[in-house]
Amino acid sequence: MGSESTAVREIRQIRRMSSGLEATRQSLLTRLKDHADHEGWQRFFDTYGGVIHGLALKAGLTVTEAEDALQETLVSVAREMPGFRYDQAKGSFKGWLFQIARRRVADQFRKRERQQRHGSATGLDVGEIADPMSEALGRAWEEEWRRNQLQLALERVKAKVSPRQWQMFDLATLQEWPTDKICALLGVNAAQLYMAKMRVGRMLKAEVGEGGD
Amino acid sequence: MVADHVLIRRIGAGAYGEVWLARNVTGVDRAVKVVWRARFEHERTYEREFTGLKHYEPISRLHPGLTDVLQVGRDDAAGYFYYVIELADPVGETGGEGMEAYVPLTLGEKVRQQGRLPVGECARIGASVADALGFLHDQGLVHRDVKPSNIIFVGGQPKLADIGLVAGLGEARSFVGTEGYIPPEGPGSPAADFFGLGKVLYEMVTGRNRLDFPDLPREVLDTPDAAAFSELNEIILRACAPEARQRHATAAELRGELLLVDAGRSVRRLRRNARMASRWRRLGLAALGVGLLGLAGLVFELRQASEARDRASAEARQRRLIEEKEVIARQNLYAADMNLAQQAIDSGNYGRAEDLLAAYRPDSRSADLRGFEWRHLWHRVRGDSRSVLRGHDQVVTSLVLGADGTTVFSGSFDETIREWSIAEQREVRRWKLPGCAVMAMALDSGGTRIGVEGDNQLATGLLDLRTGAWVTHAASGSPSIQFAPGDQQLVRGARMQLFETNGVVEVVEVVDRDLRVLRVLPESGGRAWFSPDGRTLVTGSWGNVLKVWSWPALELAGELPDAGLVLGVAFSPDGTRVASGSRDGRLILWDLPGRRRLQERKTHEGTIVWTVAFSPDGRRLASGGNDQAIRMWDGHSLEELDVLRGHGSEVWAVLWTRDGRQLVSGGKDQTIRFWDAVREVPTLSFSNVVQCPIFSADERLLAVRRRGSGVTVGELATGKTVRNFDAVDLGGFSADGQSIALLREDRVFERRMVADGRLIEERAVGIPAGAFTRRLLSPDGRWLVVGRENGEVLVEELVPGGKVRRLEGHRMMIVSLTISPEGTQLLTGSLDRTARLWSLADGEVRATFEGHRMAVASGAFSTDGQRIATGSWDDTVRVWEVGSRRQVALLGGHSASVHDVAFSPDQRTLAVLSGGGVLKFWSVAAGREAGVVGFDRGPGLGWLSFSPGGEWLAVAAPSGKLTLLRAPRDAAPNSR
Repeated sequence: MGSESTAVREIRQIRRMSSGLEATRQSLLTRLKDHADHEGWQRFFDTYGGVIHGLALKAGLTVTEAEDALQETLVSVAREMPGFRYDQAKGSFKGWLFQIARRRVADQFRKRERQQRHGSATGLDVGEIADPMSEALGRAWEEEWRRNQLQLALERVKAKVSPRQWQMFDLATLQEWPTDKICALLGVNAAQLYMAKMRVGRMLKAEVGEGGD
Repeated sequence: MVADHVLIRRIGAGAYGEVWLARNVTGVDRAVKVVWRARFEHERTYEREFTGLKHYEPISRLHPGLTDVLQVGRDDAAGYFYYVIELADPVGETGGEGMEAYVPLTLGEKVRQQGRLPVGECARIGASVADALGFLHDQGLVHRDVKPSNIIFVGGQPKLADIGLVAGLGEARSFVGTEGYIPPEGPGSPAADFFGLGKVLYEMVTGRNRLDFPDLPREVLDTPDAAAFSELNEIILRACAPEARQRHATAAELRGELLLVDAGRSVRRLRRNARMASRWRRLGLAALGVGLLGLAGLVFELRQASEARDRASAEARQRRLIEEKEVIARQNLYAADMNLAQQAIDSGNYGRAEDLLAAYRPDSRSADLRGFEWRHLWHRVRGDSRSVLRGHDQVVTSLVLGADGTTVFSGSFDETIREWSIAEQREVRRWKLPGCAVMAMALDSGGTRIGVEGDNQLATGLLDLRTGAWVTHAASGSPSIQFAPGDQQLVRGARMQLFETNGVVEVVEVVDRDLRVLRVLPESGGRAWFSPDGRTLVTGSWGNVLKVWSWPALELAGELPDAGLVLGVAFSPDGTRVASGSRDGRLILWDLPGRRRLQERKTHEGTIVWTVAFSPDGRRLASGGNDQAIRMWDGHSLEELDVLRGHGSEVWAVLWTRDGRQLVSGGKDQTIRFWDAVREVPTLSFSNVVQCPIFSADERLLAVRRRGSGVTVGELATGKTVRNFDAVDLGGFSADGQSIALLREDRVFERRMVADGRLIEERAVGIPAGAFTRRLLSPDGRWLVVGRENGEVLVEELVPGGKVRRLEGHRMMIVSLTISPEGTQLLTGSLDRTARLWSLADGEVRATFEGHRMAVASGAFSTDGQRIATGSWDDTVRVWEVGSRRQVALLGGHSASVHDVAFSPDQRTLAVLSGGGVLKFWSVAAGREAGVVGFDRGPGLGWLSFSPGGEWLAVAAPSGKLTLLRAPRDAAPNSR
């Protein structure tokens, strides 16, 4: 039960944030339109877009800057690996993607720096920022990676169970509604609710287990 | 570029063209969609688009929930086609003269601006869209792309927009639907459209993106309409079920559920199964009250809104609107509930059907909406039983007749025994047996004591009816108990459970508070029954064998092998025959002296036969089983005579009243029911019927013409054939029902007395012999009409000096002829796809009805002559207003050509019989289907005929088999 409840706790936090990356997705996919394996890139974005975006935000970029960093990261990946299959060699891929993302985040800081230099005299040197942050950034990357795995596991479970089962699990476990209110809202009894909680919870645990890195 | 329109401004662009704001010559703003050939790679796809539009255009205006296509044009030289449609309402306030800021109001826009919508509004919009989808589906079309941006508002009315039309604003037209709105199996089916609508409802009511489905926002928990939300969520979950077969079966069903939510009624409650039926029956009235309160709440809400406007005229208009809305909602609900009731009956769930139907029994507050279909269904649910007595709140396990034959005792798992008066059909006495759920009962010969076998504490008990004293004895716990002759001893089962065969029968004696076991019958099976003379005991059913013992010697006198696990045994009054019913659904009739099996039937749909009972004269046998029916058998031949339906669940006990005129039954639905043992059920049944059956005005007689055997007149009340006539065509009865009009093979019209067949009138026909496609003799015998292959219609007035008139107009074969009820007008249908209305007196055509896409093969007049209905080979029925010649309804959803149509005499119901033998009832007021009944298929034509009083509907299926559906006028319940 331990790891399950950890996962659930984390997911509860995740779900309070919304990604809102739809516009970025559209514009990126337009840029990569002529690239071979367009569908693959779409899936790539859906799988890793959130991780990169989250990293950029944690590094201290604004939302717009983070979206730019995300776009540039993916364009870099596309440039560096024309025939790239993103699902290959997961372990090393994770580190490799981090390196690219980190550089593109740094680019954004440089850009900001350039603009600020035009406006004011004070400012930091790029080199000064990049290194002290690398350790913190590495931790942020790990967090985002984990968060993303949970999110994907959640989506997979959601696609597997019936909508009604999902509602019972979501309201009871993730949203922590009172049992009597859920029963009234969904027209189920406490036993059915309990079964759904256990069943979907087990599935989620299994998904996190196999989907975890 | 677009005839009669000035294009003002481009308001949208899509992959294949653009949408323009346009103004027509009368100054009305419209939207014009222009589709360019150049945008298509292939000519074929461009043409396919245009063909699709051509199909959609004529029907677009037939339903208020579809965007009207007002004009279509095409310029091949310039390479485009266009169509003019209604303009959606603008977002926000009107955009002023130039409409510079015009943005069409789609459902998507509405939700973007207002956030989540109130549940009632969602349900109403959803119902409206479902209605439009149903109409499309009836036409064999699907929408494929139901989403908020494809639902526009025109004058406040939600309409399904043509695919890609409004969505043309910044969105590519898509043939595969839109992600999140298409179901796993892909688009292109009605079920897929329901899935899309489900997602639309989700977005509307939660304000979330459909990709978040089924997540629920926390806010709904705290809103005042949380209860209604819960009901809507139920509908959404079903519409969005991953598997198509789990979704709503028809748009009408989806719409019906949404209307229920709008009316404040519970969908979940309706879906609950029969186990709740009895509890519901008690709450039924309250539920109806709640339903009315819901409507009243709606009225109040809307009324308040109107007061806020503070303008008297607006208020009046609003009130009218509310009233109309309420009427429409009720009518639609009625039609939907009739379908549900029909389904409930088809699935054997009589309790639920009864609840659904009972809600429409008229009260002082609402109009009576009931039509033939209601009365027919009510008759099917309740009409069989004479009365229903409620009181027990557990299974009624056993029944015994009181000693004087005027009362019946019932025992139940609810630990009571109740006594019911047969004459008054009510409970007269009640005894509580604490801790003793009654499994079996027996009355002693003096009628003073009842022996009881109980379940809960496994007790054998004796109830003294005079003092009410209740004494229990040592445990036994079996479903069998009998008083032995002389009442000194009891014969009971022991050491067994309900469905076991390894119990034994014991003979016990009651001594004070003790039970002394006198004798144990080895391998006897645990159930015992005495013969009427008390000299024989039959026990069962160890090893599937019934054993026959002599009494009182208790010597084994013989065996009745392969009897099954016997639950019920009955002796004929003379003791020579034994009937047994078993757990494997077998009913067996034995010759007791000969130890022989006389007859055997697998019955009660192969379920359990719980109980059997011989009528006092031994001529009939009744059985009760798990199929919720009581079946009536000939006591000798075991021929099935009748099926009595009404119990909402398993029938555990049946007995006859002493006069043999009534049956009493009880069972799992906790009711005691009384039945007329000899029902006035006409057994009129004919085969090879080749013409529309005709009722006499007094509903006493029915005449049919059968292939190869002329005309037969039968009596409805007795089912007896009154007389046969040699005739090739049947006209009808005279007003007094004394004589009948016929056409003889030698082309002589004649009128004969029904009673003795005496000829009273005779006249040679003037219409020359020759091939014809349809012939009709008017019921009053005054007109003979013949339709021919070339479209010609000949009419002859059968009076002295009557002439033959030729009606010209149809260009192709005549396939239907109908004369109006008062006998002055003729409706003809032809292969030329038109129906024509003629005056018989002068042969002038009064009206031509065009619209059917194939031959008009049937016609019907409403009783008041104001409307006609036509059925066609195009699988639709159209209803026309005679005065204006306007089509007022298009009734689709028939999966084969329509054979016959008929208005009920009260004009509330239109019955439609189509190929494949499917009969549909349509509620005329609601314009919706209100029930379906299946009949035999066959190669012939089917016919329909309502009796003049509306009590009967004669259905001659395409197989030629005639069935009478009954809908008694006085279908009022005896008790609740």
